[in-house]
Order: sequence, then C-alpha cells, then structure tokens
Amino acid sequence: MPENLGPHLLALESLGLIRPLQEEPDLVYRFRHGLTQEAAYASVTRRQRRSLHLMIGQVLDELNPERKDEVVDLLAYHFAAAGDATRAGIYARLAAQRALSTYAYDEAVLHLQRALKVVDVDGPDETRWTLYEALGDVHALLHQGTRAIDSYQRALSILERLPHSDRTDAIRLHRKVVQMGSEIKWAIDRDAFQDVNRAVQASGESLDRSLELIHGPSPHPETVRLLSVLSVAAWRMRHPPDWQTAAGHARAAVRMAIHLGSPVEHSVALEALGNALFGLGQLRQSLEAAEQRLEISRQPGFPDERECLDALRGAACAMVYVGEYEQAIPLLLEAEQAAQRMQSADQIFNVMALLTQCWFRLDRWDEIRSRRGLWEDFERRFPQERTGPLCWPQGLRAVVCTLSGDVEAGTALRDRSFGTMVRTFGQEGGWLRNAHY
Amino acid sequence: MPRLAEGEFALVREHLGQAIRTPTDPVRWGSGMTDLDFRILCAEAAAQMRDAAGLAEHVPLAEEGARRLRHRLYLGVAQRAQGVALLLAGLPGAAIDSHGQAADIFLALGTRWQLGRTLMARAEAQASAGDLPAARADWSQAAELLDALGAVPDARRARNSLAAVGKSGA
Repeated sequence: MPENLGPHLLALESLGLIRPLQEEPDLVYRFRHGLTQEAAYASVTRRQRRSLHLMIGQVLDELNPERKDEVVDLLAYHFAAAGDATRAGIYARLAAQRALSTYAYDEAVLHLQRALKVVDVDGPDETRWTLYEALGDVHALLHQGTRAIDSYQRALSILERLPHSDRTDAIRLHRKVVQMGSEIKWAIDRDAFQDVNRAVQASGESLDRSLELIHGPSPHPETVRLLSVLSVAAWRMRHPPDWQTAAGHARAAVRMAIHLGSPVEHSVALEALGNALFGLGQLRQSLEAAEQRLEISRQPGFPDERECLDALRGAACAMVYVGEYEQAIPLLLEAEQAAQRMQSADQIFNVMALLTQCWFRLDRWDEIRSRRGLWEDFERRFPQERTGPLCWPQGLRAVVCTLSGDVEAGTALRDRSFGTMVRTFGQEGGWLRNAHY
Repeated sequence: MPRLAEGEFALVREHLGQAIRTPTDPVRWGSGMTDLDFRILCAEAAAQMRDAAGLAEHVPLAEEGARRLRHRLYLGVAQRAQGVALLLAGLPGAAIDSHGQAADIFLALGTRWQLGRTLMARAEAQASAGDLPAARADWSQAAELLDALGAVPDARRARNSLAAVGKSGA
C-alpha cells in the first residue's frame, strides 16, 4: 500500500464514508453507501476516470500474475472503462469464458458488449471481429439464433475487409451462421425466420464454394464441423431434403474425426450421421450412431459437457423413434438434470417434450398431468426462440385431456398447438409432415 | 393425434393424405413423423372408421414396418387394426387371435389404455362369434383398466357395451 494512502483511508473511515471489508490476504475497503460511491465517481472528470481505471487495471494485472483467472472480470471492467480497446477485448473474452464455465450467460454477454462499446470506436479490427464471434457463440448457447447470426455477420463483415485475414476464419463464421439458421428454422416464427434466412442462404452458398478447401489434404477439427453442418443443411435448408448428400457429408465427417482422434468432433459428426440415417428411413442404424455418440461422450475426460448433454438427448430421441420408451426415460431424466444445471432452455424443452412422448406412448398419463405446472411456467419464462415450438407437447397434452374426458381443456390445448404451428410453419398447405402430427 | 382422440377420423385421414406427400425431419424433441408413424396413424384411423379398404392398404405396411424396426408398441397397434379388418371380413375367430396377440404386447409393455382398447375390440369379436361370457369378461376388464387410468369416455363405452350385452340376455 502506498505510504500516503493509509491516512486518507482512515480519514474516510472516520467520516463514515467507507468501512474495511477484509484485511487478509489483501486489505479491502467498501463504500458504506452506493450513493457515496456514485457521488465520488461523478466528481472525477472523464479523463481522470479513464486514467484511474487504466492504473487500477495495470496494478491488478501486475499484482496477480498467478491468479489472473480470479480477477479477469475486474480486468475486463477496468480496461473497458479505461478505453484500452486491446486489453478490454482480450480480458472480456477471458471473462466471458469464465462466466460461461459457471453458466452465467448474461454476465458473459455483458462483458463482451461492454468491451465492444470500446472496441467498436477505435479498437483493432482483429479484436472487434473476435469479440463479435464470441458474442455470437454466447447467443448460440442461449439459442438466441437471430442475435447469434447478427453477431456472426458483423464479425464476417469486419473480417472480410481485412487484407490478410485467414480464409478458415471466414469459413468457420459462415459455418456458424448456417448451423444457427438450421437450428432455429422450426424454432421461431415463420416471419422472423424469413428475416435471417437471406443471411443463412448466403453463408450456405459461401460454404458450398469452400468445398475445395474441405477436400484439402490435412484433416482438421473445423473441417469435421463444417462437413457436419453441410450435412444438416442438405436436409434442413433444402426442399426437398437431400438425404444422400447429407449422409455423404456426415460419413466423411465421421471418417475424418476418427482419423483425428478427436472425441468431440467425432460426437458432432455422429449426430449428423444419425440425422441423415433417420431421413433415409434407417432408424435402427440411426440409433446405433446415437448410441456410439453417447458412448464416446461418456468416456472419462470428454471435454465438452454441452456436447455430452446433447448426446444423451440424442440417444434418447433415437430410442423414442424405434419405440424404446422405457429405455429412453432414464437417459432423459439424467439429461434433464444436466440441462437444468447448465440452464439450457432449449435442452430442457427437448428433454421435457421427449419425456412427455415416452409417458404418452406408455399410457402414463399421471406423469404427464403432474408436469402441467412446469409446462405453463416454462411457456411464461421463455420465448419460443429459446425453447423450440411448444406445439408438440401441447398436442400430446391435448390428447391426454380429451381421452380423460376433459374435452374443453383438450380443445383449448389443441387450438394453442394449432396456433403455434401456423405461426411457425405457416398455413396448413405448406406444412412439413411433422406438423400434421 | 388430438383429432384422433376427439374422434375426428375423417379429418385425420385427410390430414394424413397431405402429410405423406411432404418430407419429414429428425426433430430433436421427437415429433419427426416417420413412414411407420404415418402408417400406424392411418391404420388406427381406418380401424376406428371400420374402413376395410383403408385397413387393407395400411395395416400390412404398418405391421411389416413395426416388425422390421422391432417397434413393439406399433406392432400391437397394427395387430389390433388387423383384428378389426378380420372382423369386418367376417372372420371373428382370426380377429380374436389377432387382438389376443396385440393384448399380450400391451400387457408386457404396461400400456393400460392400449390394452383396455384392445380388450374392447376383442370383446366385440367375441360377441360376434357368439362367445358372450368371454366378451363380458373382456369388457369388464377393459372398463376396470380404463377407469383406473382415468380414461373416462372409453371406460363409459366399455360399461355401455357390457350393459347392452346384459340387456340382450344372452
């Protein structure tokens, strides 16, 4: 502590403006009232403030070389407030990663947006596009597809202006746009999807043009992901779906992932393969792919818990499609706990909808009825983009109400289900087969 | 499916006619409609409508698909629909056998509504074959099962059928 600081702190303490919070390992004081802090802060000029924030950031940086991870959010805050675009960007990304490790999604968004406010003004383009990509990734985890696509597009527009940018960065960003577009296609209102579809289509065309890079000599994890996304796009973004192309890309992705020995990419590729096999009507083979994916994701040391959760959900879903409802239920209950821990609204919805279907098929109506409050709470808390369309579970619940003799409740739920379908898929004439369920 | 539960079988058939012409998706929340799902729904709607032509079109494909995928629930549904088709063809004995096979599957699966409905269908075949005690036993067991599940309208139908047989004095 500087020599002249002690008397000042004692004076402030005797005036009742601050109070000591802790003495070890570091001496910490806190303002007694937030208003005092605000008044003190406002009394300093903007230039002085930036200078002080910079000083604090530098001191924190120097004093904590071994435990930087613990103060990274403070570093991000002070360097952003200091207007130090480069360090604000670096620490915001690290702080966002740290926040995501504890599922603090909003905090991650806050760090990145705060840094972008500084970096967008006079920051280096390299920092800007990486921040936008990181922000897009957080929105993608939140299943906020339209925001994710917007962030990826901003990143792309900056990246494409850079004279010496790496082409693989652009391919990755285009891949993420198509991936997000594919994921939200049936999760958001039809009109809202039309707004983002142009960007998704443009990225899809760009990826198609990148195919020569995909077939380059050296396998790469990003190439596995790209092939997997192209596989999904071949059925989800084309009409009619091209299942053969989807299977071809997925098989190539699986082969490359095995060659790489990369379990996460192997899992991603197997999901794509399972989907393509479903489309080809090979439901048992689709289940085999899903079970293989689950086995890989359950290996000790598998590093991606979100992929692990999706593998659990995917295996249960593949079981449901071949009528193995009893076997699917324990996986779904396990997935539900994991999804709640990760605060993943879309996965909670997927799992609850699959559980509802299992109970429905097994005539376990009491279990469906017991979740009524949960569904209603879920509908209140999350917009459809975060969850997926609720028409399917609403329809199943409508059936149970009607078969139980509560025709009024059944009709109301059926009408709600129908309304969701019209908003999501348009009028009946244009529905996919699933919507006729 | 909600329309099927409401008894709107003709509407269901119309929807399914549109559905089969469109592609399906492997939906993450389980609502992807496979060819087998489609056949099963068609067979179910045809059975409810006592539509012999519809049953002849869809039941063999539904049963073949269910066997190929080892989908036990759907195999049971297909066999119940086959029982209805056999009864319509004037073969109550074969219908009883088919319903019996379906009932065994539903009993093993623990699916009470499916079992209750299958017992009702078998009771109808037994009544048609003149075996009223067996029909009464099935209707009675169906009513009990459906009551326990809370399937109020189906339980009422089972009891009404039981009462009608009682009144007939046979």
